[in-house]
Amino acid sequence: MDAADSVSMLGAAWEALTILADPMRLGVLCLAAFLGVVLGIVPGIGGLAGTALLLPFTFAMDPYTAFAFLLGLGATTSTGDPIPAILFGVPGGAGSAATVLDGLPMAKRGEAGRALSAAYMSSLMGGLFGALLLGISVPILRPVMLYIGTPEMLAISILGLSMVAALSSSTPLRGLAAAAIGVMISMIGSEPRTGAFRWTFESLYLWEGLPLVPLTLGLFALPELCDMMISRHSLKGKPIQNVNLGIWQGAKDCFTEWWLILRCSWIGTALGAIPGIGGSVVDWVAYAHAARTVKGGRQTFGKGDVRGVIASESSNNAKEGGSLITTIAFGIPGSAGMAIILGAFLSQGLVPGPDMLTKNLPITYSMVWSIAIANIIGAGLCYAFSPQFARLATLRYTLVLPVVVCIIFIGAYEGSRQWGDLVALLIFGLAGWTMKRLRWPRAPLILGVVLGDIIERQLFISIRLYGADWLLHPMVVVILCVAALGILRPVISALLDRDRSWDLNLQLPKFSPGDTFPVILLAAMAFLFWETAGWSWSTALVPQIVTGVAFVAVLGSLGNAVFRRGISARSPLDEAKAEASQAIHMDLIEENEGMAISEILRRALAFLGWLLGFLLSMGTIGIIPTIPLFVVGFMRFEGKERWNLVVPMAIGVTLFVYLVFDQLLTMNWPVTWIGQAFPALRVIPSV
Amino acid sequence: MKLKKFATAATIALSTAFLSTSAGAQTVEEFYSDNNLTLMVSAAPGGGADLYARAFAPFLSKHLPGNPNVVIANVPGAGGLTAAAQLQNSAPRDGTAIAALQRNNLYLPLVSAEKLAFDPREVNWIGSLNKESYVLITWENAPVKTLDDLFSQPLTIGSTSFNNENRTFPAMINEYLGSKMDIIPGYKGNDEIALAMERGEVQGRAVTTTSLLGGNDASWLAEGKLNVIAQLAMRPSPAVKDVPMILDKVTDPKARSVFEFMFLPLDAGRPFAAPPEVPEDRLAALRAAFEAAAEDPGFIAEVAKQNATVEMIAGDEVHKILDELYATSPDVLDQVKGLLVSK
Repeated sequence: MDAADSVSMLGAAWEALTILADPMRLGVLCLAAFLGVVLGIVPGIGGLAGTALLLPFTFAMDPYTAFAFLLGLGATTSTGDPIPAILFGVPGGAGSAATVLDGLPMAKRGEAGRALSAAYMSSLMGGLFGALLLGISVPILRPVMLYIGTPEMLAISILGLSMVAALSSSTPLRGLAAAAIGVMISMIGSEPRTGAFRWTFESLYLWEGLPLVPLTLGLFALPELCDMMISRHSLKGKPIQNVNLGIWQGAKDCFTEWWLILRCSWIGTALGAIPGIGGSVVDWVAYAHAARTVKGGRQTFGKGDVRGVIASESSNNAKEGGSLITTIAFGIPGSAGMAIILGAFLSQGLVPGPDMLTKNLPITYSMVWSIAIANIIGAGLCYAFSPQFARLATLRYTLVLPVVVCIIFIGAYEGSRQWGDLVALLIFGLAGWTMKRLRWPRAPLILGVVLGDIIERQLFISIRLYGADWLLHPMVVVILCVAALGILRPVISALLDRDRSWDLNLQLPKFSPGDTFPVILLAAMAFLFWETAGWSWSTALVPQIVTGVAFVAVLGSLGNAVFRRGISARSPLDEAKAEASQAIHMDLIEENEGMAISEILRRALAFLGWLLGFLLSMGTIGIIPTIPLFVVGFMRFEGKERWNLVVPMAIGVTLFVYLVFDQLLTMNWPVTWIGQAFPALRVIPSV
Repeated sequence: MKLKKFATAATIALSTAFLSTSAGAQTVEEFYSDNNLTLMVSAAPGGGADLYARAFAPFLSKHLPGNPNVVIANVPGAGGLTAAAQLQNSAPRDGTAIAALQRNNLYLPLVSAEKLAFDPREVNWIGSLNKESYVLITWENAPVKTLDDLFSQPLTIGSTSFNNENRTFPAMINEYLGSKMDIIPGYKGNDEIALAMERGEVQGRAVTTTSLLGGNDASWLAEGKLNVIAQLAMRPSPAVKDVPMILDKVTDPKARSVFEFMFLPLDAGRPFAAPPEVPEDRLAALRAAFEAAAEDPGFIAEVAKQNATVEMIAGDEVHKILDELYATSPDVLDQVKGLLVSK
C-alpha cells in the first residue's frame, strides 16, 4: 500500500466518523445499542429476531444510519448475553455458553458483580479490538480472502474441531464421544451431494438439520434450571460480595489480562470471518485456548476463574467485526445476523464486493465505527444497571425459575418456529442434565454439531477439486500441524502422567445405574448405523465413520468405568477422575452434598413434569394462556409463595410475553387444539 | 392418530360452519379492518425472498380493502415445504393467512420420493411477483467460452445442493446434450460459488438472470470477465438477447419435454398462495390487491433499489402452470425423477 492509499484510507475513516457524529445518527445508534443489550439478555432470542423485524424501518434511512442501527443492535447483543449466563447459568445466546462455565461458579461464590463487570469490560475491549482489526485490514481483505480457498477453510474448521481435546482434558474418551455424537447430529437432514435425507425419519422438521438454538438451550440452560430446582435455591446462600467493589475488581481483572483479551479477540475476529462457524463456537475455541495457555488454567478453569469469563466474552464480541469482513468483501454472511445485514445492503442498493473497498469506503468505515461506538454504549448501559442485575442472583428459585422457563421455551421456539424445536429442547435438556450429572463434557458436542457438516462439505469439495493434493497446500499443512499438536499434547502428557501406574489394573466388572446412559447411547448408535445401510457411499461415508468412532469411544469409556470401578471409586465423580489424568473436568459440577440420589431424581422428575405440563398446555390452549397458569401453579405448589406476590408476577410475565413476542416480534405461534376445534377462540392471542 | 383425525374433522366442520355465517355477515372491507393479515415467508429472515416479501407487505396492505396490518412471519424449512404444509393443513382458512412460497413447491411434490404433506393443487394461488430465467456463465479464462465449446471442452462448475436449479439444469444438459460439466455441489449460497469462481476453484456456474444483472456479476459482465454461454429458460430474456437458447440444441421430443418441465416453474418465480377454502370474496380481494400492489410504482421503485425486478403473473396463471406440470406424461416424469431424486 503506498502513501496516497493510506491517506485516502484515513480520510475515508475520518469522513465516516464525522458523518456518524451527526446527532440524529448517534441517537439511532444509542437506541440500537439499548435494544441490542435488552435482546441479548433474553435467552435464545439474540439479535436475530429483532434485526429482522427492524430491517424494513431501515428502507427509508440513508445507508450510514441504516447500518449504524442494524450493526449497533447486532454488536451489543453479545454484551447483554453474559448476564443470564452468569446469574442463572442460562446463556443469553449461543456465543456465551462458555461464559457459564466460570461465570456461574463465580456468582455462586458471591462474586456476581465481579464476573459481570469482567464480562462487560472484556466484551468492550474485544468488540473494540475486533472493530480495529476490521478497520486496519480493510485494504487487504479481498486479496487475503481470495487466497483462502476451500481446502484452507477446511483446515481451519478442523483446527476448530481439534479444540475438543482441550475441552475434554480430564475425560478424553467421553469428549471424543461427545464430539462424534455432535458430528452425527450435524449430519441430520438433506445432504447436498445427492439430495439424500440422512436420519430424518420422515420428519419435515429435520430436513434442514437441527437448529442450534434449542440444542444449546437444552444442553446448557435446562440442566442449570433443573439443578436450581433440585438444590431449591438459585445460588448458594453465601453472602454476596460488595457489588461496587466487585465491579471495580472485574474491570481491573480485564486490564491485567489485556494480553489474553488481545489473543482471544484475534481468535474471535478470525473465526467470525469464516462463514458458518460464526458466533456459535468462537467462545469455546477461545476458552479452550485460554485454559491451555494461562498460568494454572488447567486447574482453575471451570471452577470460577475470571479469566474463563474474559476469554469467552472478549472473543464473542470480537467476532462481529470478523463476520462483517466476508459480508462486506464478498457478500457472504459470516453468521445469521449478518444475513440480515446483507439484506440491508440489498435494500440500500449497495453491492458487497470491490465497490465497498473503493467507491463506498466511507460506508465501510462507518460500519467499523458503528460497531466500536455501539460496544462502548452497550458496556456503559450494562455497567449502569449492574447493581440491579447482581441482586437478581439472590432471588428465590421459585421467583426466578418460572420466568426463565417461559422465556427459554420461547427462545427455543425461535430456532425454526415449529413444535420440533420444543421437542428438541426437551430431549437435549434431558441429555444435557444426564451428561452434566455423569460428568460427560458438553462443549465438544456443540463443536461437533457446528463444525461437522461444514467439514464434510468442504472435505468433499476439496477432494473433488484437488484429489489428495489439497493436503499439500502450504497453509493447510501449517494449520493441520497446529491442530495435530493441540490434539497430541494432552494425550502425550496424559500418558506420561499415567506412567507410574501403567499397568492395566483391571478388576472384576462392577456395574452402576449410571452405566445405563452409555448403554442407551450404544444401542442408539447401533440403530443409527443400521439406518445408513441403504445410503450411497458418499452419503454414508462420514456418518458411518463418526458413528464408529463414537461407538468405540463410548464403549471404551464404559469399559473403563466398569472394569476399574472396583479399584477405588464408587461415585460417577470418581469414575470420571479414574478415566484419566489430574486435569480438571472442564464443565460445571453439581455436588448436592448429603442429598440422597432418590431425592435428586424425584425433584428432577418433578421438574420434567412441569416442563411436559407446559408443553401439553401450550398445545391445548396456547402459550399465552399457559404462562399465567404455569407461573401461578409453580409458585404456589413449589414455593407456597403468597398470592400478593404470585398474581402480579403471573400478570407481569404474561404481559411481557404478549407485548414483546406476540405484538412487537409477531411470533407465529404453533396451532393449538382448541384453536383448531373452536376457531372463534382465535381472538385470544396465540390460540 | 385417531384423536388427530377427529380433531381435523371437527376443525373442518366447525370452521366451515363458523365461516359461512361470518362471511355472509361481513363485507371484505369490514373483515380486513378488524383482522391482521399474516404473510408467512417460507425463508429465514434476511436474504432475497424475505426482503422481497417485507418490501411487498406495506403495498399489499395499501391495496387490500380495510387496509389490514400485514404481519410477516418467517416459517423457514425444507426449501419452503414447511410453510407450504402449514398453509395447507393448519393455517386459518378465513383469509387472515397467506404465504410467500418457493417455486420448487410447485413440482417437488409431484416427483419426490418422500411423502409430503403438501399438494400444490389444494391451495389457492394468488399470483407470483417475478419470472425467473437462468444463464450459464464461465470465468474469462475458462476453456468454455461459447455454447459450442461446452460440448467439446471440460468445465468445472459450482453448485449449492442437489435439488437446486444451479445443479439440476447443468445435470440435465449433461444428461441429454452430452456436455461434460463436472458439477461440484456443496457450496453454501450463490455468493460462495461466485467467490470460488473468482479465486479459480471452479470455472463457472448456472445463475439467475436477476443475479447476473445485479450485484458483482453485473460489474464483472461489464468488465468482460464473464462469458455468458447459454440461456436456460423457455423464452429469451431481453437483457441477454444475443445469448443462444439452450432449448435450440434440444431436438429429441422427449428430452424437450423434460427441459420444459424443468423450465416451466421459473415463470412463477416468487409465488404467493392462500389456504384451501378461503371465502370467495376474500380470495378475489386478495388476488386483486396482489395485482395492484405488484404494479404499484412505489413497490417497483423499492425493488429496483434492490437491483431486482417485478414481473407479476396472476393467480390463475400459476394454476395454469400447475395444470401443465401435472399433465406431464408418466415416462417424462420418470426422466425428471432421475434428475431430481437421488438414486
